[in-house]
Amino acid sequence: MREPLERWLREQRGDHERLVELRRIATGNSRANWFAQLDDGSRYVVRVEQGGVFGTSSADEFLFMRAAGALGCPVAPVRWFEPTGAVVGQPFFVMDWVDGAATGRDDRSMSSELADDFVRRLDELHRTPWSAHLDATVTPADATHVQIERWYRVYRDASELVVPLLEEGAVWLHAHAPSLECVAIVHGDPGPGNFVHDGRRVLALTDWEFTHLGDPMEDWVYLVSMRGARTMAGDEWLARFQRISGVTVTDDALHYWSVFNFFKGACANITCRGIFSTVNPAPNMAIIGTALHQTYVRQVAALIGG
Amino acid sequence: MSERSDPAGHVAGMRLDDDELWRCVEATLIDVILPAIGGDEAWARTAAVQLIGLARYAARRPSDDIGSQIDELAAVLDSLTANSIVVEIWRGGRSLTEVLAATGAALAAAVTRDDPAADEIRAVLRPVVVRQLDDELAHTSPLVAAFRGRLDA
Repeated sequence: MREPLERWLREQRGDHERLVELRRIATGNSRANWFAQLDDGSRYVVRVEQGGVFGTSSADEFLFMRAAGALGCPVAPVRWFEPTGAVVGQPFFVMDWVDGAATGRDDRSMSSELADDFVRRLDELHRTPWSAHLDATVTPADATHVQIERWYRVYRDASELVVPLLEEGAVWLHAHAPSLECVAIVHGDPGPGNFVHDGRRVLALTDWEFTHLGDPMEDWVYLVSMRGARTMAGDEWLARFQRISGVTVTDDALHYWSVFNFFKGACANITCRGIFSTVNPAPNMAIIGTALHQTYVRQVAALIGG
Repeated sequence: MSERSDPAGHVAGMRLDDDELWRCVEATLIDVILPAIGGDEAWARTAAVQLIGLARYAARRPSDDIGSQIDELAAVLDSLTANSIVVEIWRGGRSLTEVLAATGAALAAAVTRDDPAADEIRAVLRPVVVRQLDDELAHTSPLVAAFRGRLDA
């Protein structure tokens, strides 16, 4: 992909700088992230789709990142979007490289100061007035139902066969959806591993492919029960949300949004099964599409009824 | 050297069986490939560990049991023909698609109902579905550690 990417970057930038370094960064299953450096020292991340993994699109991700940047949220500036796949075989976009560290989701060494800042930044994202930058008609009454249907469609489009426990899960989620006062930008995959920091402060939230408009409780519970679960105990997260942002997560919210997030994960993960058989026969695709999918289905079933 | 052929036409004792091949893949990845991957090649290292997990899974998983699982679900649905939910959705077709669709529809219909028919679906059909998933997870769940880049013993 080196030569076509170099040509394309030259077209976007209107110059003739050479691509002097291109290497894959060891994060991300839904996208292949490449570090790219040009002759003049410009450094970028090239974020390449992987055949429709998780049913998410670079177009939406690019849109939300650009809006978040305009709204003052910490995010790498996005530069250019290539939607056709004609350049490197898959759609991709380019953003600026942000210097900093990314704490892994298994790393328990996150400082209290950094955890506080992360919670503060996520809360700011949720409270940001988005309507001037995003064109959407979703309402508080339908926001959660739209997301349930979105993920249900992702699973049904990816699988010829019905997964009985996901059929049950979708109906349960619709029937128990909590009311929502205000639609917010929801990151969709927040937590350790998905932000860049300097040890004390968040420099950029990353991995915006699941971002959408909806109920911010989805993010808070996702952080507690999934991505942040190995960083600190759930009670510590919940106390931090309350202290930093005044956000209270009730037991009912914790239960509902845990079901939702495992349902969403199961629906997203099943897309990898078909992708493994076709465009990307990589080991991570095989495992996400089988073992991880099944693990999440089992969590949905356990939370709903044992 | 004398040679004898087995009924399949292979030279006796020479054909490599699947277990041997997977053991070779696993051992070579662990002993040769993984140590040769540089410390700054985290993506390659993770992929190698995931591949080891898949090789172990391939070597140890039981044969595909989907046929008997579908037969079991169909038999449960057959036993519930007096159930008002099952009457609406079950036509007795034995294909994978039909049985799974009917099972999913029955579980979904029971969610919003609080009556004996729904209770019966939850008490009789659902445990079979969950147990079949648990049976599958017993073999696939070690892949989750490999996915995270952990090489368990």
